[in-house]
Amino acid sequence: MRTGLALVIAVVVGIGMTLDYFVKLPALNNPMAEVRNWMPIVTSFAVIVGAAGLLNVHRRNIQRKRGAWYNSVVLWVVMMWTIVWGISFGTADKTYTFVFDNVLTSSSTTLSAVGALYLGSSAFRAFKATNVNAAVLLASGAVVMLAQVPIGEAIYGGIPAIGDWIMNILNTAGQRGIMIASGIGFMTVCVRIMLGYNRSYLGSGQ
Amino acid sequence: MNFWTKMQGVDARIIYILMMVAIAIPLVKPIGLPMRIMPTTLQVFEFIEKLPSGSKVYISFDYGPGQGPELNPMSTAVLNHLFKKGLKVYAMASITEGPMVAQSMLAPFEQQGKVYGKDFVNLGFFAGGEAGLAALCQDIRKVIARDFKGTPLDQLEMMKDINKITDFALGVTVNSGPGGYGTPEVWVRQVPIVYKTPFVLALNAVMTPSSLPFLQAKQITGLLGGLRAAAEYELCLKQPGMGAALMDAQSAAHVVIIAFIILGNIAYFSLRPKRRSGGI
Amino acid sequence: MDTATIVSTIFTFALFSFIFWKDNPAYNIAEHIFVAVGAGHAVVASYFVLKGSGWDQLAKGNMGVLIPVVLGLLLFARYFKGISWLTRPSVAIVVACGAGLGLRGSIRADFLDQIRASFLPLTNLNNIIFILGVVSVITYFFFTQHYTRITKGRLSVVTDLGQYFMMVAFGASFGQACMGRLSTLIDKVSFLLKTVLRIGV
Repeated sequence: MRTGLALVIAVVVGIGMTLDYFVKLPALNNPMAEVRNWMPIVTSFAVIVGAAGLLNVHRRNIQRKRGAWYNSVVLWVVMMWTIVWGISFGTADKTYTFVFDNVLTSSSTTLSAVGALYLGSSAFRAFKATNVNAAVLLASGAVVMLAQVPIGEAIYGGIPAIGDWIMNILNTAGQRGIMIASGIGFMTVCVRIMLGYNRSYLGSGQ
Repeated sequence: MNFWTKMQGVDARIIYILMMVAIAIPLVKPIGLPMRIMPTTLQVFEFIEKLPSGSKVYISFDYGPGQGPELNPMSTAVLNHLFKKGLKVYAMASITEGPMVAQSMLAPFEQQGKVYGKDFVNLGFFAGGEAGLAALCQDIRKVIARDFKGTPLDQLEMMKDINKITDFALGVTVNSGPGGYGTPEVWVRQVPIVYKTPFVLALNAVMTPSSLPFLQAKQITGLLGGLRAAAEYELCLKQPGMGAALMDAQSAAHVVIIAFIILGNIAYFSLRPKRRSGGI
Repeated sequence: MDTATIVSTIFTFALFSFIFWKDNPAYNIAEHIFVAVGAGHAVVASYFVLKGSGWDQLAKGNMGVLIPVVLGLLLFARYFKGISWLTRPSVAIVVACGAGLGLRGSIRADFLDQIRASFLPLTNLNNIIFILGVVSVITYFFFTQHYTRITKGRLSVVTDLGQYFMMVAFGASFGQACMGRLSTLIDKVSFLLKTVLRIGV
């Protein structure tokens, strides 16, 4: 019962959702449309469950005074303020927008920029042409990088054309092959879920 | 200890500082290198140019603020073009930060005289990922009840004749490939393939190579990729902005990275014979 | 300097401090605040979705909305040991919906249309190279032995070619990824020059 019901739902909804695209039958199309309309509500609850989990982890840190637990206090306070203020005054509110623009945006871009600095350090230490495959990867990457910026054309007029050729012919061919092969893999996983063979989403031991 | 061995052991912080200085120089003293426009960018520009005034276009802002530096210039350039052509803009987002990003992108146009509810509207976040998108395509009101400001959709003049995705003349997703939600593949699978509507992918650079097969297979109308495409679009509009301004710094940054790769490989290969004989 | 710039600058320096001083209190606090605002915003956005599509519909008498609301509430059962199995129907319906939608779109988007578009006339060198690339990459995935990654006999020429095409594709992605990352660094350097050092950009 505990797993059976979930499997029956997975099989019925999965097969129904797939057939809905190919078969025009109101008895099938209408219920499947209704199930699609349910998804925003269920996934929104999932986000709230996830946030509750995050708060729970940090609550335990504070209770047990584990490590730098004052960070968890900061997280709790700021998160509760964001939620209460956002729900009370809406996301278009000036204060909320101020916090979003100057805290979240600023922090997001800074963390991305830190990644870029690590890229520079990795370029020097780790990106080695140790074999033919790595050499091909680095060479094509370097040409594409130069082709994307004006200095590439200034260095050698043919670089943009070579870069375009790499992107449109070699890269697209490679990416298409990967897309077809991974598409088959993706479809296989979908069919396995719909037939009840793949049960990993039901939790451990299933 | 020879030169290359010392080079390999250089403190990473020195590399970081070198990178930031290399980027700062062209920001302070721009070089102004000329730039050509790629056919993919021109394709999107010409499609929008041909849309009659008053056509309805939706833009989905599917990127968070972290990808803003790369995608904001693109959003601004495309919005500039849409408003210049007198097209009606419907903003939405498949990720939670999207509506806030959309609001910050649309705010300058509101200050220039565009009216909310008449020229553009921010429909806000639609939840549910791929399922939510599929539901939205069939009936927008089943997924989005109120706009970003809390107004019911039925009270918005611009939403009068808009019920489903096929009511729009063009769709655009400005997308950074957010994990799990409205990735470019999801949009292609659920919109242009199913409904055969014109659709443009405006992506960050990292998503562009893997999305070129969609363009080559004519599954999408056009593809804009990265800051370069944003700069080119600004040139198409004859209004150079942030995208064009940052290309010199981008050039310097790319040259620095390639120089690091070359130096690192020279060090690796010059040390290799010694390593084989157990020299280091 | 206005308040917005001061706040942005504080967070920028606090998070940049990681690259120079590794784990430090300023970085940790800034990171936790960033996570808190991000997660809090996600909750707020989800609340308004639930309000518009859930409670408002129930208030109008649309009882059909009760099913997804119950399914959503069942997700909270994961926090209670004895009844955590109650989350399974909700998870199953979300996963199955995604699988069904993904399958029906993927058949054309990732498979049929892509194969159709690969049938190019063999009238120029680019088309020949393109078709060779697609075929060799697919051959690599289909005919490489699962664990040893060795192909037998003459097919290894084709699979090796497929590997090189994939390396070019990955190299192109790497080049583009560098571009994307570097643009965020350029934005930050530009911000620091303009707002902190007041150097015109």
